[in-house]
Amino acid sequence: MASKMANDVKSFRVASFFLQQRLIIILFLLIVSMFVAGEFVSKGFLTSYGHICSVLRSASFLGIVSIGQTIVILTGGFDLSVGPLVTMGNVFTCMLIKGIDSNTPWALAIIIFLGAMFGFFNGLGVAYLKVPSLVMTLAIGTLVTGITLLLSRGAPTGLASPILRYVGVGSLLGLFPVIILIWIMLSAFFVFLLRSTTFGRKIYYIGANEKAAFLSGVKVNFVKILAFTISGAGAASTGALMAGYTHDAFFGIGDNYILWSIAAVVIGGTSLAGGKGGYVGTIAGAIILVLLESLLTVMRMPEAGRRIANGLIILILISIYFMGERRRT
Amino acid sequence: MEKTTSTEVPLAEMKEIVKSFPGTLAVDKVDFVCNKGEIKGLVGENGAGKSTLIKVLAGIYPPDSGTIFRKGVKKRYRNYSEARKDGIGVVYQNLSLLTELSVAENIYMGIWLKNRSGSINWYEIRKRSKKILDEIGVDIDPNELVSTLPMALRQMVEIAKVLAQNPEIIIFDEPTAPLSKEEVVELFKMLADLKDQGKGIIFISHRLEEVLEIADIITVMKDGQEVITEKTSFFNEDRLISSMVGREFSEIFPAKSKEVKEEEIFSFEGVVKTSNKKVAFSLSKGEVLGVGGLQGQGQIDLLESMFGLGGCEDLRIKILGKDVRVRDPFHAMNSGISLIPENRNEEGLFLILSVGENLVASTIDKRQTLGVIQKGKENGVVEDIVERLSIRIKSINQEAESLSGGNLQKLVLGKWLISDPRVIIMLEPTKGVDVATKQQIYRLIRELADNNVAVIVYTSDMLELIGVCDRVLIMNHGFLTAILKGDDITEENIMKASVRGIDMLEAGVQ
Amino acid sequence: MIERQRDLRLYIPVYSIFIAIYVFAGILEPTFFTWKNNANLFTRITPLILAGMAQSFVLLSGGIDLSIGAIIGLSSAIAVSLPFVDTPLNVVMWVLIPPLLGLSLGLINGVIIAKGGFNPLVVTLATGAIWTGVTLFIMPVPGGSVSLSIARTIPGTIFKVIPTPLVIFLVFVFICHFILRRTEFGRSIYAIGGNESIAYESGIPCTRVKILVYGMSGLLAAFAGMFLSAWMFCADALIGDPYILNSIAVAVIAGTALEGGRGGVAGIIGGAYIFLLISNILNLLAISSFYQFIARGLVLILALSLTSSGATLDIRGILVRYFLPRRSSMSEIGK
Repeated sequence: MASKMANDVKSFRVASFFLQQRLIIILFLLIVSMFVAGEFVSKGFLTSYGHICSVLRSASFLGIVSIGQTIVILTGGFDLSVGPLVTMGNVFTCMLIKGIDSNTPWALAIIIFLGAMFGFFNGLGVAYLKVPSLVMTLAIGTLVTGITLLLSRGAPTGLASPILRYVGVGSLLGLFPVIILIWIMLSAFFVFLLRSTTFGRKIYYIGANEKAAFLSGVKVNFVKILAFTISGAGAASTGALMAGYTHDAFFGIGDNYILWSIAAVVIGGTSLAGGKGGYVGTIAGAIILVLLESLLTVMRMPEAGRRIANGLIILILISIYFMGERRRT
Repeated sequence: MEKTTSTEVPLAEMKEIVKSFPGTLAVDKVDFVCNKGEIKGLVGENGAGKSTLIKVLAGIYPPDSGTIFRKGVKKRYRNYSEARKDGIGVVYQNLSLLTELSVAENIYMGIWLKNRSGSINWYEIRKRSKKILDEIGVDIDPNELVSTLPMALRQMVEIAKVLAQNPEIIIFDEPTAPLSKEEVVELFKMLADLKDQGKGIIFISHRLEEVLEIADIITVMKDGQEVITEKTSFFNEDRLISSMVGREFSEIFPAKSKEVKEEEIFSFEGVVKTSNKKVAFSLSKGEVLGVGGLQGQGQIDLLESMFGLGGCEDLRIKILGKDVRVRDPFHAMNSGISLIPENRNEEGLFLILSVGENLVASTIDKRQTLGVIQKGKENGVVEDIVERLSIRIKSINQEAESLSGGNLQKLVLGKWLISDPRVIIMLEPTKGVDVATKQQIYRLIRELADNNVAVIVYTSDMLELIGVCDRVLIMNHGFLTAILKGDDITEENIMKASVRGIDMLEAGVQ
Repeated sequence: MIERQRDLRLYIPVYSIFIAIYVFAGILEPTFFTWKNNANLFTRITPLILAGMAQSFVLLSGGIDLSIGAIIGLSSAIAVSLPFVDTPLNVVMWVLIPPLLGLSLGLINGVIIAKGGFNPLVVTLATGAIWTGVTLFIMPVPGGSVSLSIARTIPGTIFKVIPTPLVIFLVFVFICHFILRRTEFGRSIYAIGGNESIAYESGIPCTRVKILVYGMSGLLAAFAGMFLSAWMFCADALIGDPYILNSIAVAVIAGTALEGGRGGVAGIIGGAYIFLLISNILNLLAISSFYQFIARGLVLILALSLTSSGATLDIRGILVRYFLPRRSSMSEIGK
């Protein structure tokens, strides 16, 4: 296993060196070209400020969910419970707020707590029961779906409050959409967290070589549990914020986020093996995915085609990015 | 001129084989012959090139130059499978068994006797496995799961697995290490049988008395070269030893400490789990302690337990007289204990991260305010250690993976030195390291000891053990057999102690 | 320990628990024991068994297949979209085309994963999305139709007495069990899952076997989809989604390790029943069907904590020590 790693790393290094340095630039160039292409298909795609905001708004939601996914993937795991958690956040927020402003703070607090709690369980299973994160998060995700259905009796009720709606749809000074500002703040915080804090650094150590991290005195279990907890809280919060966007709740709102958050991370250049990458790439990845969706909508592509496109993009990109990361027998 | 016990075309002949790895010339123009119906012993110290040589024969490593002849025909094996198909089998120390499967299945892995209908004939596989096992004198139910077998029996299954392929040449690499005296007798009976069947056997071992017993002809290797090849009758243990050793003590070792100071800075007491025997020792100021003996005799268990990795029970560790608890590496580190692991790539380094990130891995929390890393301080510390250890890099942001073995080892050392430890345990500190760096590491070890850091070194390199350590503990079968001091640390004494079977603590020997 | 012992230690608990739950369900609701209910259970359990075996093959080789749900959906959609309904031609196509499709899709997965060396999770997640997309394309809303003869036989009975699903799943389990135990292909799967480099050193064609494993998974998933189409009389693009988790759960309960190299399909019937009955019981107790999700998640976590190896918190070890004090601890010997 280990000598394999040395070989993989050697070849990965060659391929990734060029990519890593210039990847972010390439991605942002891609974003610009997609906007331009969209302009050709439908006037106003690039030139309408409203449309740009709409794209960035959608990207914000995906982006916030992907924060946790980025962190988890950096440690070498996956979080497949984000989808159900987004749905849960969405449904419960509406149920708790019931359209009243004053309910909002404590409702949000509860949602964040619940998300963190389930993320915590994910972390416990992965760290102490040594269950692979893939399956653990899948199981917890199913659990969350059940709890969501149960407590809402299968029919989402309630409504987002005006203040939440303002966050979801409104704009500061009529110009800057609030949700995008929130995303920017969170992005800055988490980029900083990953690059400049001890916690962030430990995430990379664990992803790069978990055993060496353990033998270097890093509290691996603690960091992993925290990573999953953040992811859970982030996913649930996103669902809550989306309630402001959609005004009320509906099931299935989170369904696509499992694939999309992983896709955003992958497109952003973070290695699925862990230890390499970061959130900046994910930001670009999220925007690209939302842009793709928007382009497809404008080209009148049905839902079916969009799913196909999403899947294809991931496959194509992992083949380009990770040519070097092949596992040799 | 080779003296051989047979006059036919040799089963295999290697001519002028050269094999090198980054930093070392493992095999230096060696000729080697394997004859029919002959057991050839291959001896030499660690690093002499024995394992590498036979791996070249078995197709595991391609030689840099030289040729291999199989029954007079020139051959080039691309991998072990090809060599195996050509009748060469190797029984390793690191077994190649699949533990979740049965003994019979492992023996016939890849061969799978089949019915006419094409399905696997388990009856036949079990029957034949049992036959092979019986032939080598082992009583195991072929349906037994490998995972529940002790190491000695697994070794036998490994042998059976190799025999199932019906090789003409069988190479044994340290086969007696996990075996008891009775099991060795059985093994030798089997080897004699195989020899009668006309097989060519190559027998690598550190246990010289065993080699003298079973081999017909012995080759001694030293520093990658063949020293001498003679009929066994020519040798006795002393002669063997003197052929294996006796090179110039190059100036790579710094002077040892002149006086042994009495002040104890470290003491250890514990019971080794695998042998259930107690081990106890202590270190004084300025002393470098070595741990030696044949590989796999509990040394790693002993040393890893000091770092919180288990291996021993009932631990009592004292640093400067104070009791210290080590539940896991994190606690060990906080108590001032550091461990330089044996496999630096898998256990000590983050190859895809940068040099700087590697160096600060153990001390991240020491340079932070509220969780934010103080980059300035960090860079300062990194630059200091790079200078102190003369690590050759272009920039501290360089990827660790690009460094040479010697520099990588310095990275691991640097990582721990930054944490200012009281105790440093080093497992094979110069494995895969070039000579120049070795020198630097030896000097560093002496420096640390002079600064009252307790340094404990485990190495399978005899010269290193002698050259670096002030005192040496020898372990065998999980207990201490000897503690050698000063001038008593010689290759002969070390080797004698390595095969001794008496626990010195139990026997009350000082 | 002898191999047979180890297997028995695995399957006896699974089947005991199955019987216990079965009896418990019967106690709660006497009509449970009726022939009608059991026939219905056979029908409901068949796709679960097929999906569970599909996943088992992949898990045994050390991989994972998250596209099983999508292949089930796509094959069922194709199965109900075949022309010339109610003619023998339709039946022939129904028998041939979906399996070939599933096999091909699986092989595509296999090639990408085995030859490309990419992470199976991400690859099958992506291909699953693609196949689902294609399914939605063909069948944006549930619909389609199946030949009457198929719809009557598959969920029905042979010779008016033996339920067809029973025959179907027994045959499939038997075949898969045979493949895993008595063929080179099957044993190679175990070797690769156990330790790929050792398998490679033994001359096993790892890449080829891995490709075929995913092909096998796709094939079995397609059969599940076909069965569902015959039973439901129509198809729904998203019908396969629950099977992603369910297949993993059933495989794990049946004793297959997530790391690979260990397990098999001998326990799959018991595992599938346990999984299904838990939902059934909840229905009987008139508990909201939403609890099923929760139950499924919990059962999977429970099964995982009992079977996962190397856990810091060894739940199985604790249980064994309390309930089976005379058994010696396994695999502490050797390294």
